[in-house]
Amino acid sequence: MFLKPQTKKPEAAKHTVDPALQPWVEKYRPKTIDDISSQDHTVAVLRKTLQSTNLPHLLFYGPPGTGKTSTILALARQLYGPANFRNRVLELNASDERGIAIVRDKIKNFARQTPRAATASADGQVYPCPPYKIIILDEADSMTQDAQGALRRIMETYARITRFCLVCNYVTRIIEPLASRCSKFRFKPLESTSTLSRLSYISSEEHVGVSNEVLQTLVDASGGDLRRSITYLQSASRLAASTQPPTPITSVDVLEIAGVVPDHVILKFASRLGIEPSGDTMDIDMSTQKTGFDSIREEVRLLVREGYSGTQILSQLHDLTIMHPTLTSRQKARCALVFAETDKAFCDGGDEELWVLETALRVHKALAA
Amino acid sequence: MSLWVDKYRPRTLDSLHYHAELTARLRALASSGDFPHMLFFGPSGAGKKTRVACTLRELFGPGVEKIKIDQRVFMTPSKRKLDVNIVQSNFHIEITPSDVGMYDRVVIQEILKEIAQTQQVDLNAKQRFKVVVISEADSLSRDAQAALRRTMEKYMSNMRIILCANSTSTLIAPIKSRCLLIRVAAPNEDEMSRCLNEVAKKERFDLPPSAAQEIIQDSNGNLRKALLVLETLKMQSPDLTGPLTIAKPDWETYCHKLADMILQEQTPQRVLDVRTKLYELLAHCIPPDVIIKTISNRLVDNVAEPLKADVIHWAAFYQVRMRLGSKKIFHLEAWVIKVMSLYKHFFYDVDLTGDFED
Amino acid sequence: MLLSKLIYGLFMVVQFLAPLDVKPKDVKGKGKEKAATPSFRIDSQTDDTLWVDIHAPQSEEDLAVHKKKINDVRNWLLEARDGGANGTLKKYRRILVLTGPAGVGKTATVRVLAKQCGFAISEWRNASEEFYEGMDIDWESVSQKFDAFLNRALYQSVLVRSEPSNGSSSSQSGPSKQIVLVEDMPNILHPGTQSAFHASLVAFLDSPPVTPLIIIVSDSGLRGESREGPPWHKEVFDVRTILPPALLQSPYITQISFNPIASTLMRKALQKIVQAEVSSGGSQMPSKEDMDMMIESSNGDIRSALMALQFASVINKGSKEPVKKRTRKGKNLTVAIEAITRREQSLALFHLLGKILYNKRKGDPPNASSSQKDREKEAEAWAQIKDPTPLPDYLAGHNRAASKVDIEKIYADASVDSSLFSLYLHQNYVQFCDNVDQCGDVSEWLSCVDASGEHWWQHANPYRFHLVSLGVLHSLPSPVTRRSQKLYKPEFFDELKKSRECETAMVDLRDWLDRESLGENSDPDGIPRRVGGWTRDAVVTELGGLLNARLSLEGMSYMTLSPGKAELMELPMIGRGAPFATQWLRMPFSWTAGTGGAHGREIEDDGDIAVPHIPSAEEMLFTRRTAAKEKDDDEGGWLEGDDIDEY
Repeated sequence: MFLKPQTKKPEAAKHTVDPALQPWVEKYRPKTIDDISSQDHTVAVLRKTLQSTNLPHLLFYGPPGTGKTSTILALARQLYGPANFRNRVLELNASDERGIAIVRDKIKNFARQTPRAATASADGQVYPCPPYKIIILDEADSMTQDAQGALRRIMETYARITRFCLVCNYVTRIIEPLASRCSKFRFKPLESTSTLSRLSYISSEEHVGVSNEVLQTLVDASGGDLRRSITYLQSASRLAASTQPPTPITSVDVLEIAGVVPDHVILKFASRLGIEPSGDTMDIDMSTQKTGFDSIREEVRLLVREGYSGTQILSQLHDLTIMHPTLTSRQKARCALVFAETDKAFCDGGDEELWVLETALRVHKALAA
Repeated sequence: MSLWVDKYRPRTLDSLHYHAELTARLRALASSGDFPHMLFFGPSGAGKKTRVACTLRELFGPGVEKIKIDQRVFMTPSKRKLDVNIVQSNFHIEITPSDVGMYDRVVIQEILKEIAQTQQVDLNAKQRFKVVVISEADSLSRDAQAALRRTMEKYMSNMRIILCANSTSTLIAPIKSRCLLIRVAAPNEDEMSRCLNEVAKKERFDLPPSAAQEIIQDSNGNLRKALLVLETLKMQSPDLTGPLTIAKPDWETYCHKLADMILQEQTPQRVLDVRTKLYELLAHCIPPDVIIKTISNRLVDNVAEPLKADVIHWAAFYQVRMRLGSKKIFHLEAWVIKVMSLYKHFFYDVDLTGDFED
Repeated sequence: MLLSKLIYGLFMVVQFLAPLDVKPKDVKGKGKEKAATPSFRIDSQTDDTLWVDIHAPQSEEDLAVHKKKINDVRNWLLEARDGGANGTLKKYRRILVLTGPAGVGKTATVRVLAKQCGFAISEWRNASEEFYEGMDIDWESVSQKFDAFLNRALYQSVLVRSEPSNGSSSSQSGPSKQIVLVEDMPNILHPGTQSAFHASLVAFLDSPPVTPLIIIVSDSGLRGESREGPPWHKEVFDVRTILPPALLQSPYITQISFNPIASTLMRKALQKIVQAEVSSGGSQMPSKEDMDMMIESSNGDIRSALMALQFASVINKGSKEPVKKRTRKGKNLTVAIEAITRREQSLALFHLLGKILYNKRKGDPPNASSSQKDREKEAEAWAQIKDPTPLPDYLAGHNRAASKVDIEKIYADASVDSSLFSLYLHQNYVQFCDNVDQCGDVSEWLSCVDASGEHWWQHANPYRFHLVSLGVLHSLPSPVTRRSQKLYKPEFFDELKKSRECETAMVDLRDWLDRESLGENSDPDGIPRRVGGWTRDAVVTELGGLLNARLSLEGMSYMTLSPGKAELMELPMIGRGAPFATQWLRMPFSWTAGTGGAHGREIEDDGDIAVPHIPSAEEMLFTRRTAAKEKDDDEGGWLEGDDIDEY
């Protein structure tokens, strides 16, 4: 009974989210391309296309949370206005079935429709509303090769009336014939200043009391991914608001939410591996003595028991090593190699305990050499 | 059959024994009316699912414990019919991806869509949303994770997702960034001893501190294992005094013998013997990752210091190979032979240990 | 299915060989009956029917089955009818299970003997096709139908429902007794259907003994899916799937396993049929060589041999050219038969393995048994092959003499894909190594190739076959020490099957634990259910100790727990109805030490011994439980047991 859909209440609350519960990521999506943070070059080019209303096929790629989806959605909104947006834009992402069958049916059907005449906009504004439709394929790198192949033909055949925008993280996973048909835009990781200004804008809109120091922690913890930092901010404000009495957000909260390993834990771990906290000259003999295999294994075991995620430990250890003032370049290079291999292993399903231990042992060896 | 570990599991947030701060946080979230998607992660046996259950109860009241199991039929893209047992209450539904194997995407998509299109029927319900609990989320396929990604934002109005995972490394970043991360660390020794004593008290016997210590050492932060061992010990020697030996499970003893075989002899004949044993372990469904970790743990205890790092290195190396490949035995065997080879050369001739470096 | 493939193969070859003579009307042949109608109509009236059907055995003399098996089946039937010598056996003769490869005469034996003993056959037909086409019939209805059928069969002991299926089984007039034949199973690989089916069988045994039941199981072997899948994904289809474990040892069930048909028996049977055909006109006697080849290549499958025979006669008949040209056609025939049987492929695998594993290189010491002339010849051949350019010093360890193996040629001839091939190499490589370092190199190659190109966004690595072959060649010693190595079939699939069984038992146990706690849940103070239930890993790695401790408190250990007994017992400490728990516990670890490379089944390249059945290209990892064809004596005698000897 739980699972049976209710008797059709047509359009009753069709996924309309209470604005208070809406994810801030959605709520504060840029409305126009001018609101896009940090992607000046791309925005400049797109603004031109907005004026000439001629659009090539687009391919947006770059790391997560850099505004790729936001950009194309804002652009489409500016092109068509709310009245025509619905029938001119088709957005598909990886959670929709996107096998070759869907490409053949749904995408093709939409692509070959002649665009309907533009309806007058209700809000009184004038939109360019060019005579073509846009199909947005979000997360296009998760489409199968076959599906991408089928897309290629559709793109050519209906180019006059339909433009495609592929959005993906890894441009190398888009088959070459598709990529070559698109204008490619690379989205850079956001600079921390623009993330910071966006975050403080949101926090003031939401009346969240948060200090600049905490915001800076947020930015650091999310590594240039704006979506992540906004999500963390929302989670943190939720937590803070739900305690009785409400407390301001602290850096500790933010770090815990982001799953960051506390500094003292990482520093202790690092010193076991022979990375001295800072400044002091390295005493290799000393460190080897207190860093036998068993002690490293014990340290790793404790770390894993605490439940910290392997990728997180890795990235913090990486930052610590690479920024370290006294390690030699050669030592850092060796360590970097280890970190790279471990990162790959984690992507391929490497066991956390085994690989954290492996990393620790090899870093230790690299530093001792 | 009721196991102590099930019988004495805390059912409400108030009765949880440790991680008080985390408990307070969960209680606050449950009462705030602004409940997010959550991802519980931490080592096995730390109490993730217990906390999930308590949170659910805090959200919905005792009604959430009224469970029923339905058999549902799903249709795979290849038109194959798939029977899945779905556990649910009026307020939540549970999915275990490993039960559905490679078809997890289909099942998850179907269930989430249905829930999203359903309004809460129970007028007395404390919350307007239903919760989907996905346990063992680290075994979700990439496809299924991609499918979850957008759905989590889209259906926020009447559905929340709680994911449970031992490790977050296999989860894609977009999922992690859409969830509130809840880290559940393993209990420390004091906390474990408190839990063990609590159970002993309820079973009306005294747990000698020495026995408790023994069990805690053996369980390595895994409270579930500790409680199972406690019950087993109590059953085997009711007074729990004197020298206790915690019997290792069969498979663990087997792994240890295997490790010893590797060090005794390094010949092609021995390779064949070991292969038979490895096959036997695999045939008993012992997870290959567990096999390689157990054997390597035993090995490093018995080899010379310079070899230890190499044993671990190759264990890690071939563990990933197992994930990438399809025939586990190839990789396990390759690792065993590598260790044999290293061990042999370490004793008899040139040192080959540095060959993976640079 | 095998049959339809065969027919299709025939067709292709016929079209190729004699395009003028043949006018195919319908290319798609499906199953026995359909396949019979289209085909090649040339001049004779009888050509539109398959010999397999025309010459279906009518009497015991026609059966090409070994006497002992016939007697076994007959005795069972007689005992089921009359109760044996002292009349007491009747109640034990409830279910007869016949197992064996396809085409060895299981069904024919039953039909002939049932007729002889005065039984009428009532046969279960599966509506499986409708089911598979995704109609709205779910599995339940099929298994319910089966249940209903069994019940009906039970109580309609007099009423005869047998419809003569292909003309071979005709019910006797006024049969006093009825027998139920189940050959076409419901979709038993589905766990739900399977348990329903098992329940039907158990219920059948519990009911009063009226009608005996015969189940025929063709060992279709196991489609080895090396990737882990859900438990219903297992494709094992053998007697253990069909009978509930508790019944396997039951006295009410008799199992008789059929072996592949011995070549002498097969020859006799085939000759008889050919003679009949020749005398009825039209057909020509195939040459002895052709006959030998057909018999040998059929692997003891008389149905396939008969198909080949009919085909051969069709070709011969079509040729009205002078003798000279006939010989050419005769050669074509050989080629054609080789094309439609799998002999060549099987041999190819054997040679392929040998070529790689013996790693012959230039400069190997000559074979001790070879004559002087052979040696000279060989040396000459080698002189033509250039030595590879030596590698630079730092790679000197990788220098090898020129290899005799032409990898491209091997690849072109190979009938297996790299995945299966690597399993065969894995099973056998150790015997060819002199020390662990060599083993290490080979196994590293196997591991490396297995792990390459599995990801969904990549194309599968197209060079796997080359990589694995060249890697193994490079790593093996040169020359390989000869110690009369034998080649074995991979154990992999047996182990995979075992692990599937274990997994099923473990999942059962877990579900049972789940339901247990659910049952107590109605009580508000009862045990709360574990969210998400027990995880598989926790069940496997953590729960065993406690369950064993509880069992031993019951005064027994899982080692002594006899199958069939635990299900019936009440175990207060474990709980009621815990068959699953005990089934899982009944899977102890084997401690037996391995003995050499001999865990697999041996492959031999001996004229008399069948080579293993090797999959066609489209069936990636398909192995088939193949019984070796034992050396036949004049009687066409049998060795017991259809497994190849375990060495």
